[in-house]
Amino acid sequence: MKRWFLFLIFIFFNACLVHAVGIGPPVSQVDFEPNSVKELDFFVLNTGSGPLDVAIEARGELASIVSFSQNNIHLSEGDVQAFKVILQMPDRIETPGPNQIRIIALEAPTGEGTVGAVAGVEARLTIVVPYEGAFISAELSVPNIAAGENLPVSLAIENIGTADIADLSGSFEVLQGDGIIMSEEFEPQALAMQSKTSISKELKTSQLQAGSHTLRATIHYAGNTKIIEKKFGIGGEFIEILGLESTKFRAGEIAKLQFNVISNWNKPLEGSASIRILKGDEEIALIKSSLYSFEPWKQSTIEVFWDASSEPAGSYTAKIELVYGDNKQTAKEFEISLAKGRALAFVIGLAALVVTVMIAWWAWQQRRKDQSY
Amino acid sequence: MKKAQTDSVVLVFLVLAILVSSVGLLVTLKRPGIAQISGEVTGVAKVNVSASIAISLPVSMIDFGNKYPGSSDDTTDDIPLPIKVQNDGSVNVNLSIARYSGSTYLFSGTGGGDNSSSFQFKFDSTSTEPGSFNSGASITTFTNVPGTVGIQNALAQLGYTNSADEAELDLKINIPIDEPTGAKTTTLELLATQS
Repeated sequence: MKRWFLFLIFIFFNACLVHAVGIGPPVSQVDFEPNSVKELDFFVLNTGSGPLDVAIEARGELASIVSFSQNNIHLSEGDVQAFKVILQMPDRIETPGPNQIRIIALEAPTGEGTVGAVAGVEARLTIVVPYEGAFISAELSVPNIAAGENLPVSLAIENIGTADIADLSGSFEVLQGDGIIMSEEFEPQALAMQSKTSISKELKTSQLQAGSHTLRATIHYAGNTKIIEKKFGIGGEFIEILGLESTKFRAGEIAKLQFNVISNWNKPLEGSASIRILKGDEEIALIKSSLYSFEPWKQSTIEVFWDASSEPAGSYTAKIELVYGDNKQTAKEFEISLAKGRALAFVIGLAALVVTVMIAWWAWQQRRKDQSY
Repeated sequence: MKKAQTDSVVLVFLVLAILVSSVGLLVTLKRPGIAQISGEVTGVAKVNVSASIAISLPVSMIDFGNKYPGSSDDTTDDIPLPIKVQNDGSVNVNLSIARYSGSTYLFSGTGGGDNSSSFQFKFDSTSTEPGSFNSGASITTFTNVPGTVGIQNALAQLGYTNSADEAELDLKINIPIDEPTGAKTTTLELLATQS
């Protein structure tokens, strides 16, 4: 009996403990240096209640080059403990570029039950191995702009190869559809092994129309060519009305009209909408929305309510007029329809029921009369 | 009479003193730059907070109780409660699921073993914190529990803000018809990585 009681207490306390484990930093990176030894600082933490035993291990193709200052760490509640990841770099790593090692902290399993679960956390350690010969990585940055503004473009290039590059050159091109609208070259330069450079330009956009465009960066180096493309937008102070979420409503009820708009402007805009409901040419309702804030390049939904309780079923026109910014306007028309309402269906149903009851009553009376004769 | 007059004068001065003192205190407290008056100095404290990945399992054990060969059960009705996972760190995480290498598979009868329909999982939102993860990119229909190699990103982009940082791991068992009798146990490994 006493043993059972102790066992139950053990189970109860285990169930009350929340198992929690953490690791940091979540991602880290080192450059590959043959035959070197590198020590990196990591930490584990116990964010749960009660003490925690954590096993540290490495997984991945390069797990064999990893060792730890501690393989098992005991953490009391709320405790944080540092440990070292020691990398014994080999002569050579076959795969150039990023090679990932998974550093894992796994809680020790505890408790009873059919299925238990252990929490583990994984930090990603990347060893960057240089590419043989001349090799670059590049990243292109380009913002969305307003019409008439210059386009600031930036190209970050890193020599991740094992050779210096003496002749790095290239150009920026703006594409619209398949055609090149404009092109601008950048100055040739040298880029030493394992070093970075950043090329920035301000491109004039006077010959570009508003809309979506593609910026292409072409980089020539050591007989190779690298091309990167990125999309950007040239906006006008214009909010486009995209469409109604639904065009079918029910007569005799209040209709919720929701329509989507997208801002093509690179600054926030404020505005509101007026919706005119037309039956043929006759305006039967005018609804105004509250004031909306339209975020740059984002889609929003405007919501208004039309009291269609006294309108008959049929087709109508919803004319949406959007006023925003410095009194700019956008308008669009949509066909909408009102279907027969629930109230009418209810009345018809009720009438049918009354008629059925009356027929049944008449039939029963007839039958009684027949029986009495 | 003279004493009464003196008392009155003292009383008036006392009231005046309290009044002046109170008004002075109020004016001083309301005045911007109070720190300078009181001699306090301001300083700038700078601290770097390291990012961390941390998860907890508020519910980490499931007991399906006594079952017969050929029967099945799952945790979608909350009987028993599903495993609950919570993101306690400072970054969004993806979760992989695997059988813990230190445990055996749950059932050994025909159709048992790893990656079989005898033992399945899916992730689901909790009723208290819906929308905590990217359900479109996560496994949300019952799928066979893998072996020790595991399934990466079974749960995608579990958030870390306190109001939306938890998910349920539902489990389903289909006991093989020829499963030997006895207690059946296994352990799952839920591994979080930065998403």
